Amino acid sequence: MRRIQTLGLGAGALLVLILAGGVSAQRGGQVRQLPPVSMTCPMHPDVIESRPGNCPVCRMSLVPVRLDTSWICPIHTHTTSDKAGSCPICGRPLVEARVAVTYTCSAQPGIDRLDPGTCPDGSPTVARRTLRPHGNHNPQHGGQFFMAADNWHHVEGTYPRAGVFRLYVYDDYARPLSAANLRKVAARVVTEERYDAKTRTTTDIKSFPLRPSRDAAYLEARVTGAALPSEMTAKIKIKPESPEYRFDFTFAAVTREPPRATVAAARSTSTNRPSSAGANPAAALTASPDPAAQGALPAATPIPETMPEILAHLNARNVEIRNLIRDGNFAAVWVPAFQAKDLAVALEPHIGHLSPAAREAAEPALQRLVRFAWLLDAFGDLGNRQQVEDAYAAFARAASDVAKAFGGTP
Amino acid sequence: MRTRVLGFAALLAAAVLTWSVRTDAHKPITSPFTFSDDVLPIVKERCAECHSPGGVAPMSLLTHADTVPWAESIRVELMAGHMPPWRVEGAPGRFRNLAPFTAREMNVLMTWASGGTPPGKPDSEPVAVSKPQWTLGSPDMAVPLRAVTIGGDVQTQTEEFRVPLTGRPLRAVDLLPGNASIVRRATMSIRAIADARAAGINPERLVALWLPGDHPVALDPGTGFQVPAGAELIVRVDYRKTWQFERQAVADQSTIGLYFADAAATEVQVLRATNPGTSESSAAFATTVGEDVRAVALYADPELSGADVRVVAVRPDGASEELIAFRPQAEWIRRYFFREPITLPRGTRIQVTASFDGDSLLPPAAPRSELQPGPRSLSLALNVVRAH
Repeated sequence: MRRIQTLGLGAGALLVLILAGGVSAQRGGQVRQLPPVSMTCPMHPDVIESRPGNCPVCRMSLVPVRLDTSWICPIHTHTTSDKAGSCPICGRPLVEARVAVTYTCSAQPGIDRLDPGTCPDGSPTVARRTLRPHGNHNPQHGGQFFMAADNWHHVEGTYPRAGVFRLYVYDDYARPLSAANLRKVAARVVTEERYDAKTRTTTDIKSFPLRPSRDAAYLEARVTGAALPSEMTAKIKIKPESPEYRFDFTFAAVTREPPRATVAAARSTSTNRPSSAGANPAAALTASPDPAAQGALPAATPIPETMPEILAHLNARNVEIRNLIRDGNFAAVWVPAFQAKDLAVALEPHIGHLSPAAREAAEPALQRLVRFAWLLDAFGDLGNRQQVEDAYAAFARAASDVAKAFGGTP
Repeated sequence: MRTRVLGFAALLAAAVLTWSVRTDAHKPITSPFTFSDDVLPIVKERCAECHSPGGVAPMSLLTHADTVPWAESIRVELMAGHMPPWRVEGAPGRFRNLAPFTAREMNVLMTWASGGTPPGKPDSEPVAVSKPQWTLGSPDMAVPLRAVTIGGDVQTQTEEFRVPLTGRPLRAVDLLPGNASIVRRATMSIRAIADARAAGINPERLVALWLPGDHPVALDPGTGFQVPAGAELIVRVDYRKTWQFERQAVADQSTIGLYFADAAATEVQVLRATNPGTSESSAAFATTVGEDVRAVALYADPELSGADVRVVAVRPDGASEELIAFRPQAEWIRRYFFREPITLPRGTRIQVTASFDGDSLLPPAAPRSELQPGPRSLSLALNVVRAH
């Protein structure tokens, strides 16, 4: 969940991504529609307004920005594309992320304009895509990705081979922490614990320290006695003064790094600068299959019009949420949860068809379903199984009450 | 005007609102709801009594500029079920004085607060909020209380007022704040002078709990709170200044409105279930109905604040009925009036369970050590009238 937050957003800290062979406003005779201009706060990037003014948080003057979605490599985030494809460096499938679009010149990268145009040397400007904070919540190593409750850091847990738990720690841009900062992280992975309902506290029974890898790219622990499928809990203090955060991971199988099918072909094109035509990563991107065509992005499903159909869809979403939680895929729960709450809102006008008693039960149940769908969304980000399961229990009760009130199958 | 006229709005809408089934962790939500078109109508209807300029809440929510900084708080408060503050589980429709958000309203507010807080049309002047008024109509007798000034160095203050009564039964008592921005709550009780001399008996009998934004309910015709001869109304008003009035002296002169019942009105009595004292995190206690009655309202004593409270009536034939399930909030203790009186035959057990454990969705508002510093009496009251 995004929150208005204070981000130390120094310009120098921005991930400036120059799209190799970038997408200009006009390419191959096809005009690509410019992302519209929004106004944002230099210090609070979640503040987005449509007109000039001052940040409601810090009162700084808002600055213009063109916001867009882009496809980036989960590992090499300096590599972006305007379409789905594979990373030209490692071959991993690109993932969607939020970016700000500006226009620069290949020969003069210091130029940074809001609008496309012509460079001093007469060449057309190229698009520069700058990753936004929290613009990328995608796992980078095939694991499970959560956001810390500080709304700044992110973690990804993997189980790369039997008996090894690995934890990657990222910043607000989903960039790995620096080696120095990673070494400050105090963390352990817990495979067995006891919960005291009275005091609402847990006690570790079996835990293993997470230690930085030699290159400080991740934290790792040797875990004994873990058999797949396995549930593990990472408990970490990102800084000595930070509170301890809890992240619950479920591994049904050994984690696989994203495929590197085209690594060999693409490695020679590795660059974070506009590349020459002879080693053009965009060519690899362009040649990549379109996931939409492969069914990775199924067609949108409209909300049904009839009450029985809506109830059937609601039941299906409920089952979907339950299965995602069972599998520990908390970060994906928001999708069916949001679909369910949209169904609940769509059901509300049908209340008039119910008996007074059923209406009395249906109204609060629908409201609770909406509320707990939002709670599932919030908790799903944070990766705490207890919270997610409690939210689901409340959501499921509401869904059951809705089904009963509308005469469906709970 | 749409605030988040973003290039990816269509993509996000496709992802979130039109059922794309991608399962990325990232949730780039963009609100299709704007403040002017969607949020403000809800706020005006539901929240403006307190959240308006001059209201008792610390922030007005009647303009986009005023509301945006509180978007995250709004999101959290709504998700936690803290606002509106007198939420019940189960069927709110069985109570006269409950009107929770609809599913749509909840969704609009959450989506807007989470999705970029778009303004829509530019802010105009805050809509005028009508001054507090007698929501039950003009009272049979209006009694101005003495003027009170809260000093600049004082943040909270409780004042007690004594209002002479005429001996006529009461259907309702209301309070009209003189300065709505500082009158935080009030209790109105009948103190029977004669009873006060009886040692060990609480000489006061609660007739009204006043909260901002909570409209009073009058007892049904033919019923009333009995007022012994010579009794007086004790009004305790809690004043609290918000940050806008820090270091300022602020004055109030509120007015009490009395609504009389027929002289022959059936008496509204109190049936109380009490736990004599517990330090446990949960408690169960009960009382038995001694004669055929109809329950018209119920309220929790402040000691039950923060507890998950469930009240069940178990009738002599074994049939049970949940009367209410709720979590009283310390700042918002109020009376819940049943839409239809509930018949409770003689011998009915009123069973109360209270748990202070909270859960991961709604953790206790304060550590239990603060909630329960030691054994404390827990009590829940039903207002009942004899069945004819």
